[in-house]
Amino acid sequence: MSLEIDLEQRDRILIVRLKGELDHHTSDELKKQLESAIEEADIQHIILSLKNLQFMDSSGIGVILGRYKKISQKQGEMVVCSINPTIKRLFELSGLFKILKLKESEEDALHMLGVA
Amino acid sequence: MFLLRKWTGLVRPMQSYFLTGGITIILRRFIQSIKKWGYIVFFKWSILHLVMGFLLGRALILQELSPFAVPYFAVMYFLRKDKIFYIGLALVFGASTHHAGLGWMTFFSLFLTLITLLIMERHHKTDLSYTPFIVLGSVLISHTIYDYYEGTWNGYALFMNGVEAVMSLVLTLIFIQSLPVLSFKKQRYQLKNEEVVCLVILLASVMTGTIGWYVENTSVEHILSRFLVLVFAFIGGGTVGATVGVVTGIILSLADINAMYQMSLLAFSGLLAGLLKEGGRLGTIAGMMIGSSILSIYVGNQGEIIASVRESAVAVLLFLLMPRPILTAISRYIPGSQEYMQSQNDYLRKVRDVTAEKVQNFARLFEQLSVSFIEYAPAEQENEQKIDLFLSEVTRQTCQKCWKKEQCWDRDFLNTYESMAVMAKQIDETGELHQMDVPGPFQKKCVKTDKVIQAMHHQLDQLKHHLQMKRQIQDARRLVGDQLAGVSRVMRDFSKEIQKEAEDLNVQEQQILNALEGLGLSIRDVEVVSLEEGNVHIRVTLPSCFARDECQKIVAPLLTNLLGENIAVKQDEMEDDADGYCILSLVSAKEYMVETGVAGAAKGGKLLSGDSFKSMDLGNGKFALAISDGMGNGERAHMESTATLELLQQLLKSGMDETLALKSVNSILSLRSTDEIFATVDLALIDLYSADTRFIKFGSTPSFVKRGNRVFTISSSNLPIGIIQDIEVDVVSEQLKPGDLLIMMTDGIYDAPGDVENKERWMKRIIAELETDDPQEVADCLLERVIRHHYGEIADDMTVMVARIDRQLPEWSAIQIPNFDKIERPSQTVS
Repeated sequence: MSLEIDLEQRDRILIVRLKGELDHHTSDELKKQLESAIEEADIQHIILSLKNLQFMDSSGIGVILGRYKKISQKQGEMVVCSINPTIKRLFELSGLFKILKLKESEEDALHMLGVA
Repeated sequence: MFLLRKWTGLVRPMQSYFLTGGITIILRRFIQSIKKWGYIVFFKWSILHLVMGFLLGRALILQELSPFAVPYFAVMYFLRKDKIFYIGLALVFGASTHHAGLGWMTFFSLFLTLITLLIMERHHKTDLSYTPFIVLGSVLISHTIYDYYEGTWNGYALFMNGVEAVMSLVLTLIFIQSLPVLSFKKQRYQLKNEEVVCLVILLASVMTGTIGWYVENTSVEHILSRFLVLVFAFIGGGTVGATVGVVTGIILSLADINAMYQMSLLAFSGLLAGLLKEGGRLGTIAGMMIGSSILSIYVGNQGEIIASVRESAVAVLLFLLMPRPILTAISRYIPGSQEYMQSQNDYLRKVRDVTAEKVQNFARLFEQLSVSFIEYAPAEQENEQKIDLFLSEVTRQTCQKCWKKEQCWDRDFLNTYESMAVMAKQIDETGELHQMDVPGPFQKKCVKTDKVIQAMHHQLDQLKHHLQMKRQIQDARRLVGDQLAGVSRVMRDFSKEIQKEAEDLNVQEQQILNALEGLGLSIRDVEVVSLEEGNVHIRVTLPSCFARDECQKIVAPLLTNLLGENIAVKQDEMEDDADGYCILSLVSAKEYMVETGVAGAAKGGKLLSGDSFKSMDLGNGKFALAISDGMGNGERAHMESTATLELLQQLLKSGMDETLALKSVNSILSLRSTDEIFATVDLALIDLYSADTRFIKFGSTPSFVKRGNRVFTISSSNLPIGIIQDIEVDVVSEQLKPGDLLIMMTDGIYDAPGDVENKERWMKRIIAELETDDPQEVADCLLERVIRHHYGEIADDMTVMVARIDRQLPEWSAIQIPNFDKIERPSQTVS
């Protein structure tokens, strides 16, 4: 099973919907896509919508941390929403919730970032 | 000089006893005048040297040889050239008291010596090393010429002159050693044994000058020799006492052959007096009286016995009159005396204190530096100022080159400025500025609105960039500050350690010594370095047991009983001395021991794994287990994780607190490159005395503890190391128990079940099912189990590290000794 990446931009917010498995096979592709989106569209905030993400490993964490570093320089924020328990546990273990915000749904996340 | 100081030191306590008001002032003046006069008498007139000169001039050996005068003169020439005339006079005068001929001969020898020395000086060859030969030459020549002139020139006289010249040469060598001591040229001068002998020879030679003097039928030389022996025996003990007795005895008997038995008398009484010196002055006196009486009863007749007792009595009286400070002052020079040891100890302590203070000063310096690094934050510019600066940059690119500049900025400054300030605020707040945001009046006035907006955007980017750079520099500065603070803390602890060693643990040392000797062991020395609980360090020197392991089987168990805590021999610090002694280091045995096992595989079965691991004893009673997983696989990841652990190991070993150590590693790694390279770190620090374990995890998977059949997880969440500069560190503590298996792994193992719903539970089940509790086997089994789960495929670098904690049991049980109490430990005063 591979990874399906769906990117949607609203104002300066990038919504990233991932489906499938984020591992070291697929993380490079995700990194490339996110990188170009952030550069071209002048993205400030990122919302990770992980409802359909089944699996993630350390390389996935690497991609997320790298993007966080980028947007935090623009005073941007990263929000995670619709996360399933397995991935949530992984996020917890990696300490990612120290820097990311967790929201129930995409709407909540957008609301928090000031876009209805 | 110090003699004088000691005398006034003696008088001072009297002052405080019974003197008040006016009397004090009078007495103080009196003391001062004594001091002044003492100084004048001793130094300006050098009375002491003159008296010595007189006596040495008088001193005769075998009734005809006077080998003392010329050496004394020659050596004094170098010490007190200003007084050399008077000293020469004293010598000649001393010699003349025997008969005028001797006076003339001495005068002639001295004259010859002086001429030679003056000639040598003119040729710039004045050197103490030539002096003995000058003395030899002048004595030989002058005496031979004198004999020739007198007509007593024959073979015998010539031979005797040769003997006298050689003696003079030897005496010169001795005086060169001993005279500087008496002229107080050197402060804090510690004598070697041979120097003490030289000094005694000098004093005995001086005493020879008193031969033939009788006061009320008592011989002055006997009194003085006994007095000398008493003083040295009291200060230096039996060996020194006997030596002084022999040396004085032989020189006195050389002068007067009838006094031969004086040598044995003085040596014996010196030995006795020295052996009884523990009894204070009275003990020494008793020794002297017994020694001298026994021998004179044995040798002499009745008259001699009475004379001898009288002489001893007078010597004792003199000895009793000798002020204590002078004795103490002399004893500082004599090796082996308690004062000598004390002054050595004082010196050592001073060095230690100075070192500690220096280290502390450095610590303070580093702390100060760190504070100045952290505190220094460039003041935030005022908002208005910021806008001004921003606008001036913008206008430089636009308005400066605009033909309407005069109109907008000279005539309508306020309005233009205000409009632009509004725009600047807008772009600062939202980050964007559109055509419609521009205020109406400005739009109307300005012909290059587009350009202005563009310039503002550009400027904003630059400003942000600038700010970011600034923040990075600030972060770097904070990192340096933290590092310095850490170094400062380590140094401060070190200085405390140095000072702690200065604690006086003599009582405990004696107690241990007694206990060990009570068991029949021959012990040379016991040195207690530290008695802190859990950190005991004792050094024992005893005859080498030739691998019979007395130390482990007897010494350590005994100390275990005395201290109430397990003591072990530190094997790697056993030193065998060349002289058949062996120095043992005995330290607190750790309560627990850790056995580890590791298994790992690289992705795809390759050689190089991106994981690294280390297990190390930090040396301070802590055992560290660490696993690091570099991002990705292969060489790059391997280097990353290895570097992380190396750095961590160095910092931990230097004594840095683990949280700060990890923070430092993080800061260094994240500053090092802008790439998003990171590594996870999983660190467990096991306290070997309490088994209390601290876990710090950076982006790593949970660890498992298997206790009996129960398995539980330990997890904490921190970001991986090397990405975000400022991290907070969560530490999880867990009390481990003997028999516990601690299992740490990288995500290659942890994530292995892949799609399993609950990996933790899966792993727990696997661990619980393991039947072995050998760490290495556990590690191997787990790795195999995980690889089998994937049908032999290794999807990621995998490392599993297993540690088993066990109570350390001493090999030999403690030895109970009924009559010895437990050693009292000093209360720790660690501020």
